[in-house]
Amino acid sequence: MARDPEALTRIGVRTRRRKAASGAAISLGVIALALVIVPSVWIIAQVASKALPHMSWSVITTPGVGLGGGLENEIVGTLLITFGVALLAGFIGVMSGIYLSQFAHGRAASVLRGASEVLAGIPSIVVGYVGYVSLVVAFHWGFSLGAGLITLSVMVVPYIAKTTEVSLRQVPTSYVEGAEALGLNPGQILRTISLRTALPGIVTGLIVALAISVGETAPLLYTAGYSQSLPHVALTHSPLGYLTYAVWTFYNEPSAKAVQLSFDAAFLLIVLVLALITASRIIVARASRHREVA
Amino acid sequence: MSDESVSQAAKPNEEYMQDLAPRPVESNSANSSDPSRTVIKVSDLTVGFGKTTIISGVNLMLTRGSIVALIGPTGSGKTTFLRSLNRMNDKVHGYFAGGSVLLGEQEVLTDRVDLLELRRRVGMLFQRPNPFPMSIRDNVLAGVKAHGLAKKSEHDQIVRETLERVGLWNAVSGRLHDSPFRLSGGQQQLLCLARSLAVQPEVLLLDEPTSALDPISVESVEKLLAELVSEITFIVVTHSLAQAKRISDHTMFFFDGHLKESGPTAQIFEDPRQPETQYYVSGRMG
Ligand SMILES: Nc1ncnc2c1ncn2[C@@H]1O[C@H](COP(=O)(O)OP(=O)(O)OP(=O)(O)O)[C@@H](O)[C@H]1O
Ligand SMILES: [Mg+2]
Repeated sequence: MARDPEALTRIGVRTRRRKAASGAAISLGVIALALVIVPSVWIIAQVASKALPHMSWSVITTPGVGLGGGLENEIVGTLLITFGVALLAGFIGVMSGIYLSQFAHGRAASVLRGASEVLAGIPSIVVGYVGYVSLVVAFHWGFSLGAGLITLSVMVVPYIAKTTEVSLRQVPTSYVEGAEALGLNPGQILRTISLRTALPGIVTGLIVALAISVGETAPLLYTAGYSQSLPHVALTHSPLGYLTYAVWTFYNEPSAKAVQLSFDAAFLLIVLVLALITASRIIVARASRHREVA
Repeated sequence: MSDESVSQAAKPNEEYMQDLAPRPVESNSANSSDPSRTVIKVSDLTVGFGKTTIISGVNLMLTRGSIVALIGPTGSGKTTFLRSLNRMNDKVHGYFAGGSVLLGEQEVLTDRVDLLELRRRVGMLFQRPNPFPMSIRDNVLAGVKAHGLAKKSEHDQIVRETLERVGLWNAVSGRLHDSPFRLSGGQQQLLCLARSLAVQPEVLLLDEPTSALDPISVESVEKLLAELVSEITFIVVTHSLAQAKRISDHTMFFFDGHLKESGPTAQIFEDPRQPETQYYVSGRMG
């Protein structure tokens, strides 16, 4: 270095350049984060400010009457549909993910994966239309809970299968090899090691899928129809209300009360989604307590 | 201190080793030794992946209750050999094996072998500690539960006894329900050892079990092997010639997929017959 007096300057220039580059990267990160956070907060604030001033228990506890009344029928409908999707799509999606990650090889696997990706890419309104033509009309189910939740499930199963598969693939081989070397059978390894390790990822995928289906309108318009009375729990011939319907329809009604209900429904949807996300956080935290810190 | 305890604990089998000392380990004739003391007998083992043969023509006999060191340059096939003994290569694409590996009376290289029971009898410890992502207690019990070896009421006792055996009880008795990943690397490896011991294996395969550990943890693992050797046969792959000398009764030298030479450790290090062995143990290779 003594022989090269410029070396220090060069190092100085490089350090400055590096600092500038990391400064730029951090700024871009902050901007990107702001682009995500600001709209979310703004939307929540808007909806809350329009809904909360006239919100009352009666909105939650009375079903709709004409353009007034409450949202009880829509709330119960959304919860029923979400619960049904959680069971049906959750079961099929997680099973498909397990199959894809553990047992599917070669051509069968790539055909399945391809099919799943195509399904994920079909617009929800098209899925809804197909549900209408097949379940509602051809099967004579009529507008119904069954047709609605099957159609929504078809939409989100690919997503759940994908997140399950990816989470299971990320289970470190050292865990699986350790379990194999101990003489655990494949089922035991799957249950006690792989699924347990992958659980946070699987649950997160499931909850995001539910949040997506909670917010869907188009497929339900085609399959679940609408009803202002409380839903009766039957899979066929049981049209029912749901919150997204109220958001969409009541907002366009020329009645102040209806517009209010529309914002109430939007607010309740947001609360429901936030509750789902909170639940997933709690489950993830509990499942991760024995995790390796990477 | 470690040397003392090692030689002390190793004494019983040193005695009986003297009976067998002149016999090369790879002797293929069963009548030259007491067959009841043979725990593993490998005859003409060939292993490969796809079209490449990795190991060929390996013959050896391991006596119950000994520590065997597997040494050799990197890529010589030590890991491949070790993983053939408990069939951990099965899932590797293109894997094939020929010849015979007898565990007691049981042929290992056949479809009829009960793989799960084989792996209970022949345990394995890996280079990097790999505790499962469950509590320390559940780690110890993982194999016990899977094989249904004990009633639930006996679990507490098993956990305690096994952890005491590996010298971990005092350190972890207060946090059995905690994550194992907060233990030190050496403690994690001891926990993995406890997990393997809990299913009462006859043979334990160790692939560079201490290479990720600090000297003190190395010492405790080595000490432990010496203490347990009366019940369990250990095959230890190691790159540390000093470790091989310290802990093993027999040493096997792998070179280029062949078992070049094997015999009592003292002989391999002091009076090797093959030029490659000579070269390797003098530290000029590998
Ligand atoms: N799955 C595989 N497919 C093809 N070749 C393999 C496979 N696994 C190992 N090999 C080859 O087998 C040879 C022996 O490998 P092995 O891991 O047994 O060596 P080793 O003696 O354990 O080496 P080290 O001391 O570095 O751990 C190497 O040339 C390696 O590239
Ligand atoms: Mg190796």
